[in-house]
Amino acid sequence: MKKAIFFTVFFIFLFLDSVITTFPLTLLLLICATAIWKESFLLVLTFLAGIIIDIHAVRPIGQTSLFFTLVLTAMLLYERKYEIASLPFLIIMAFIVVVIYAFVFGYQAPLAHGLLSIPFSVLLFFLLSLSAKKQTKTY
Amino acid sequence: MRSRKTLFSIVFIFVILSLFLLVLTTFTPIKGLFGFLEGFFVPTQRFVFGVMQKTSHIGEDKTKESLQQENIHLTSQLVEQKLLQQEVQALKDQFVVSDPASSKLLPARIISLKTVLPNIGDIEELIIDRGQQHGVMKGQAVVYKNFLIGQIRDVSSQMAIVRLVTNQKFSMTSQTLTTSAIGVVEGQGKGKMQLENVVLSDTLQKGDIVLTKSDQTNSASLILGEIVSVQKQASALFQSADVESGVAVEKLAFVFVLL
Repeated sequence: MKKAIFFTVFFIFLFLDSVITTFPLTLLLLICATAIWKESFLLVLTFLAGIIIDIHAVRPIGQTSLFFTLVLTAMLLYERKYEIASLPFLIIMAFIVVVIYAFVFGYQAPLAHGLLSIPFSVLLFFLLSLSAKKQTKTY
Repeated sequence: MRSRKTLFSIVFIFVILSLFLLVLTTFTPIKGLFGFLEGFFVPTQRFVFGVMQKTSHIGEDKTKESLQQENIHLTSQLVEQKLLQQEVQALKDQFVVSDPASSKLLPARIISLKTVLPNIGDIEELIIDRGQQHGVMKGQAVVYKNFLIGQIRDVSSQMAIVRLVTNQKFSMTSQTLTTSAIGVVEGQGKGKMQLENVVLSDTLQKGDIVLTKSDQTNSASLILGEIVSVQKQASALFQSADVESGVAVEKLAFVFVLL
């Protein structure tokens, strides 16, 4: 059930990311999910999402995948040093990553993108950790 | 969760795969192979954009829209008339007037106008459903009636990305219609442009229309916008003017690529 909801949200965000918005919703979702679940299937999704976004944005294929994968790698590298499944870490991570994303891909107002990422990451973190807790209780 | 070592092996594989694809699509013509994927995505994107465009303008004043259209039409007519007058004058003066380079117009449908949030933020680029397969190339001009909308920034098999004239990275040599002052128009973002590097001896006046220099767009002069204010200081080397485009890009569904 947890994964069904996650996949639904993932595809909705991927669709919005590809067609409507310059704000990296998919990346935020993947960051939050990686922080909470730390599962390797997320890397497959990251790679595929990047390719789809690149096709829609008329970019060289692989650019976004590379960026997304490197972000998740950086997160996993910090796993032992910091508690990555915490709200402060996620807020800082989301802000920095989204600002860099907007800057690298040439979107206007990178700081506005970064600021917008804060409420989104808080919301996603609570929703995902809620579903993770529910999942734990069922075992 | 799998062991840390396994996880990093997977990460490594995807990083290498991404790099491989990136190198392949950047430095080789293999990008065309992804055309079949674009063929799948373009109709969806076109449909979604169509729906969004229709729903986003519900409740808007129709009179304002029709006045904008009329304004565009009248400005185009004014420019045509002025250019015709200049041509007649040139003929009268027995100068040889060469026809502007004949160019082919390729109709293209806008499939994406990305902003931070729908209808919030400034549009600086748009995506059209025409690409290399249709003869679109990097640098070509994109127009709506006589107005220059932007230039092709990047192109794939079935899509192209258009950098709008208001984009901060846009610049083009231009001249004013009435006073023939020459300068460089640069995009300022937020739907604005600026005509810069105009020598003080030239005259800039509010309401004058700014045109592209014909050699810049491989066609006759196209309209960039109208001067809304002039900044002139006697101590400065150059004068400048704020320019506004008469076209509301967010309301367009079709544009034309000058092939």
